[in-house]
Formats: sequence, C-alpha cells, structure tokens
Amino acid sequence: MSWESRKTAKMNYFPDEVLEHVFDFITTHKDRNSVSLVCKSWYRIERYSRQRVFIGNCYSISPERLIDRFPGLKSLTLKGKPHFADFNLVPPDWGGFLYPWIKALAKSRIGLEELRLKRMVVSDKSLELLSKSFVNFKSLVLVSCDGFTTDGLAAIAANCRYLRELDLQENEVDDHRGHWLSCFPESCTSLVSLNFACLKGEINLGALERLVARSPNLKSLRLNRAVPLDTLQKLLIRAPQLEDLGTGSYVQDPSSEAYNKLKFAIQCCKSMRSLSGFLEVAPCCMSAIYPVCPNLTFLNLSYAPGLHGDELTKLIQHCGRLKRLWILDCIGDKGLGVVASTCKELQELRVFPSDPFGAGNAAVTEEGLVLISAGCPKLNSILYFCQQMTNAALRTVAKNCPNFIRFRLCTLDPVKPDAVTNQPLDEGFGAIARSCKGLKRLSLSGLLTDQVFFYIGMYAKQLEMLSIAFAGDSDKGMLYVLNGCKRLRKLEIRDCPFGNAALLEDVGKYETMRSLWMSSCEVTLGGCKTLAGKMPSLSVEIIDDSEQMEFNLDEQKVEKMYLYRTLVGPRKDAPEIVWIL
Amino acid sequence: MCMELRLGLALPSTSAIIPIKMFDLNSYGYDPREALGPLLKLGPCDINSSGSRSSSSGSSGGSKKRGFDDEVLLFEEDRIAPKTLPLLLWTNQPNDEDDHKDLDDNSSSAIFKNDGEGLVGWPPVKTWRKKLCRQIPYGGADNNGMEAAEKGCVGRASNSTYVKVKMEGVAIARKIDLSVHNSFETLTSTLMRMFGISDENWKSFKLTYQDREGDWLLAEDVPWRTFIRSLKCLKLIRSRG
Repeated sequence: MSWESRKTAKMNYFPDEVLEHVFDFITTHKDRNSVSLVCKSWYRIERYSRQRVFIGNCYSISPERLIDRFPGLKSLTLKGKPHFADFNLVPPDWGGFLYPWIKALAKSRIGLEELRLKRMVVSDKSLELLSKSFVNFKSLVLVSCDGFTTDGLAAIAANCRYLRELDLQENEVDDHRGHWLSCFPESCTSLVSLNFACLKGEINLGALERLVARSPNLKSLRLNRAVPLDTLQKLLIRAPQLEDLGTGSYVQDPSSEAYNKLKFAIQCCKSMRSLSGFLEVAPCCMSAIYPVCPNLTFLNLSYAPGLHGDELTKLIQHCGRLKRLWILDCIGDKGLGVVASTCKELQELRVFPSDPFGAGNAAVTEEGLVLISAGCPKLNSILYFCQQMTNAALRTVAKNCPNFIRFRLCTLDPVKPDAVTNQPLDEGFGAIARSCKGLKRLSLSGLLTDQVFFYIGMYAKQLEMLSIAFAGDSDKGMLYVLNGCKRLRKLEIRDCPFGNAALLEDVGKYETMRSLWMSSCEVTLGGCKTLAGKMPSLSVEIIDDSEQMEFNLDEQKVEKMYLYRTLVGPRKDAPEIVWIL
Repeated sequence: MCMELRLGLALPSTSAIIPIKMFDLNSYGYDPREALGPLLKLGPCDINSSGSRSSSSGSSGGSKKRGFDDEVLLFEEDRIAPKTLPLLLWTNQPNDEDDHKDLDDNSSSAIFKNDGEGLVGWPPVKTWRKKLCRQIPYGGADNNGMEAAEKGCVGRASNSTYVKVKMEGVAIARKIDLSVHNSFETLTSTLMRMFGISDENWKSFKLTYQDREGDWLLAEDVPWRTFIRSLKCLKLIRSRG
C-alpha cells in the first residue's frame, strides 16, 4: 500500500460510534447543520444521532421529511406565523397549524419528548393527540400561540404521565374555567416547571396547592391573576426550593396576618433567582419581596402598571445582581438612572410602554438610555419604547456599549426626528451599526432616510434580523441592506417606499434568508409574480385581507407580501385571502 | 418616481398651510385611496375579525376616516424636496413659536389621537400585552383611588381597591374598600352599617353589581371570587315581592 492510500485508509477507519460520541458534544443547531454537510457518512451519522431539531418556519419543510431524516427526534421547535402577526398585521387564519405535525409524528415511531412552539395555531384536538401519542412526553412550551382552550390543557395534564414542563407564555387561550389543573393525576409528581400566567380564568386553588405539594422538583411556577396572595403564600411554604416565581394577584392589606405569612414564606425561598407576574399589585406590598431581591438575576415588572416611579426605584435598589430587567416606562429616566447605578451586571433591558395609545406620552426619553449605557457595561440586549431619541444619545450609547447583540428601539411616533436637531436619526443608528460589531438583531424607528440603510449595509455584517417601519426614501435603502448584510436571515418591512426594483435586483438573495415580509410598500403584484416565476424555491404569498386585489391587475400595489424559502413547494392550507404565486 | 410621505401633526388652526408641493390627488393618476399612502392605514379593528371585509385598508373609506379632516398631508417629490425633511416644515412659518410648542405637545399628533387604535400594529407591542394595559384594574374602574386606605395601603388610580356603592333612592354614592373583605358576610355587614340598614330591613334589599362587561348581576348568584374579580360597582336595590 502506498503512503497516500494508507493515510486515506486511516482517515476512513473511524467507527461510527466514535463519530457519534464526538457529535454528542456538538449541540447547537448551527454546528450540527454544518457537521451534516461535511460528507455523506457524517450526514448519515449526524442524522441518526440528532435529537433536537429547530424549524424556524414550519412551512419550509414537511413533517414527513423531518421524520424521515431524523428518526431519533426527541425535541422539536416550530415557529409558524411571521413576526408581524404579533402586531395584528397577519389575519388570524393565515396558517401555522400544529395538527398536521402531530398527526404525522403520532403515526411514526418518533418518541417525542419535547415540543416548543411559537406563533402556531394549536387546536385542542392537536393537544389531545399529542398527549396520547408519546409516552415519554415531558415538555410543552407554547409562546404566542392561539387556537386552544383549557380543555386541551386538561388533556395534557391528564395523559402526560411524566410531564415536567408546561410553559404557556402570552398565548390567547379560551378559558373554559374547567378544572384542567385537577386533571393532573395524584401520581403526577414530576413537574419542574408550570407557567399558566396567561390564562384569564379561575383555577381550582385547592388543586393547585395539592399539585405543588406533590411536586418536589418544582423549580419554576408562574401563576395567573386568579391566584390570590394568600394562596401564593401557601404555595411558597410548600415549595421553598422555587427558583423562578411569577406571582398572580399581589394585593393584600399589609397589616393583615396573610401578609405577614407571605413575608415569612418569601424569606424561606433562598433559591429564588427570577421573579415576574404582579398582574395585579398593591404597591404597599412590594416590600415583602425585598429579601429575595439581592439574589435575583431576572426581574419582570412589565405586567404591573400599578407600580410607579418611586416604588420601582425603591425595589430596584435592592437588586444588585440583576442580569435581565423587563419594566414599564413609568420608571422614568430618573428611575433608569437608579437601574444604571445599581445593576452593574445588567445584560438585557426591556422598557415597555405603559400607555401604548396615549398619543406618545411615554415617560422615558433618550436620557434614560444614555444613563443605562453609561452605568451597565455588560449590556448586550435592549428593547426600548420611548418618547423621543437623539443622534447624540445614540452615538453615546454606541460608544458606551459596543457589545450589543440585539438593539431594538421604538419611538412611539414612528417618524419622529432627532428631538433636539430635528434631523433624521440616520447618524445615530449608523453609529450603533458601526460600533456594535456583533449586532445580530436591529429594529429601527424615528425619522430615517436611505442613509441609515447605507450605514447598516456597510457596517452591520453580522446582522441576522432587521425590522424597518416608515423609513427610507427609495429603493436604494432596501438595496443597501440586501447587498451589504451577508448574514441576513429575516427582513421585515412595513410602510416604506421600497418597490419592485429593490425586490427584484437580487432574487437569489432570498434563498439565503428565512423570510421577507413587506407590507404597505411600493411593491406591485406584477413584481411579486416575476419574483415567484424566477424562484421556484421560494413561496411568495400575497395576503389580501381587504379582498380588494384583482389577480390580473399587475400594477396594483401589494398590501402584504410574505415570502420564504421552502423545500416542499406551496402550502395547501392557506385561506382564501392568501394567494400563493 | 418616489414619493416621500410625512405625517402632518394636527395643529389647532390648520389654515396656514405650508408652502411645499401639495400633492394633487387628481393629477397623479392614483386611485385616491391609494394616494393617501400606507402611513394612513386606519381601521385596524376589522383586521382581526376574521374574514370580515375591511374596506379601510386604503384608508379613505367613509366612516373609517379618523381625523383626516384635521390632518394635513405632505407629499414631496424626491427630486424637488430636500433629501430629508424634518417632521414638519412649520418651523419656517410666521407662527414659529406656537408651532414649536405644538410640536412638543405629543398629543397633537392626529394619527395617534384616537379612541382606540391608530396605525395598525403601531407601536409594535404584542396584542397580549396591550390587553393587559387596558384591563380594568382590580376593584373596578369607577373609583378614583383618591383616599388612602385606612390601613395604609395606598390606593392608586390603577390599583385602588375602592368601589362605588349606590343605594336605590339615595342620591349620594359611597365608596367601599374591597380589599378588607373576603366574604359576602363581612361585605354585607359593612354595607348595612354604611347605609344604616337594620337586619330586618336588609331582607328587603338585594345586592347587585355591574361587571366588566357592563351587565348588572345579582351578587348572591356568584361565588365570592368571581364577584370580586369582575365587579365594577355595587348597587343596593329594593327587592320587589
């Protein structure tokens, strides 16, 4: 044997089991995807050993192909509707149905254990089928989903014998006020995480207490508004090991016995790191949680409009270890100053508007943002709804915090210029793009011209997701982004003067992206048809809510277009108002 | 040809129109409703009622117009107007001072001055969160939370535990702090004391309440928890027969 072929022989003789073992250490989806592309044998080994799959667009692939490729699948993440569905821009029956996935998985031999869904339509029927089809099912996480009722939850509770996690985040659930909680059998003692904060109805408090009492592994518990403070106190006594708590109704007379008991119960929770809820809150009761504040790494007060500036700052002054803070803008700039001087470990800040339709009366401005950037050197993720912004402030923020990964700014008036100079905010956002070399997600607002897109295209080389509204002057803006941002995966645009020229300049680009959303822009039906014709690997959808479009009139402007790459051609479950070109 | 759209803030007297190129709806060749542009998409409420025809997507449909009369629309053709225009050109006008003040008055933006939604999907806040902000707070929406609770629990407008109680035939309404009650027994004895009703007379009254949907219901028909959660205000009525 010659030297070369001996070498080659050595390289090939690498038993599958060894490779599998090595692949075990490769956990992120990105890395596993890369591994599978190296060669045929790696593809084969990788696919049999893959347990977790992430599908960012449920229409990009079919359940059958998923099952075929990954027979060892245990954990599936699916995302359905486009992001702008969160803001009412997508009709409710657009799609994203879970049922076909469950039906296919149930028929197969896949031993599904975990299902994580975002913006999907989840019917009770699918929940029931899910609960009965997978013996080892352990974890259900639903985020911003809709289509189900508490009856579906009852099925999950009743049938999933080894359920560890039931996490419902901000879903629209039809609450039949049934006794879904009571459906957890006495034998169910495996719960680790239970979050039903988004449910609006009453629950059986006795059943809840008993459930918590028999769940020694419970680490995370998030209650809904119907759970009063005295029940909370009883639950905490049962579960002092809790690490993550979402309170329900947090109202009590502070001089009452119940409140005293709560104070004691909270003090027993030495492991508590994360606190949220306060869906109803009496400010005078907040002092009860001061004992756990110094250990908190996540605090979410964004559902509590009843807490105002002073109470918030008093509370936050106890929270020196916070890494993530979600808050309402009633904290004010001054309050953000307190955050800046107290929370030196802060990585993520979200400031939500307490009064989204109060005609732009948010209580925070560019000042608060600057203070935060100056005080919190580890800040890497921000969502900030504010009254106004300035280029100077953004430049300062960019200088103070070059580590932003996510930067989302929303001025309540979408086209508000620099509050001091009246100039567009191009320079400010440009500074962010230039300074934050690791920026992956960006949302813009305020008065913006094509110039800001020039900067983004030039500097935001790692950008993966961009959200644009009411910005730009011409097609050039969109082209700067499409040409410059090589890593772009998701682009969502509304109310911008971008038209066919921009859309059609580089049609191949869309195959490198997950999806493109354009609404209220200048794109016409003809342009969309051209695109669809050139790119069979894309699904180009036109959403005609108002039913005013005529299929043969190419010059019409398209109100809403959503396109995405797909391996399985046009979907068959679209409603009538959605045209797939 | 590119068009640049800018929002015009509604100023109290909009007779002084800015001397920029005003868009002539008739000459541009667009359907008038399209010309008003994407910025003025109103009528968001229809979008969610599934399948219903929302005729206001183009936004100039009759009753769906909101504040259009108050608004001044500014359109410039790209080649003529400066590349970027500040939000308003009002600053070049004689009444500069006044205008500037109005600029700062954030409630003057007509697009956002409304009785509900303004622009569809703006600000980009999740529906679920928006509903939270509008939820009628604990104890009802009628109370003003002006009085500090006797027991030191300061009630604020959005989380006060006080509710109005009216008695049929009595002109003045009273306020009662619900947080100190956790059963109908204590509530009724407080009410009896408040209105000076004796035990025998109490039998001739019925306690009713108005819930969040505006319906009047009998308190005795529902469990305490349901009652507390949904009530907005109370009324004592004389039971007939």
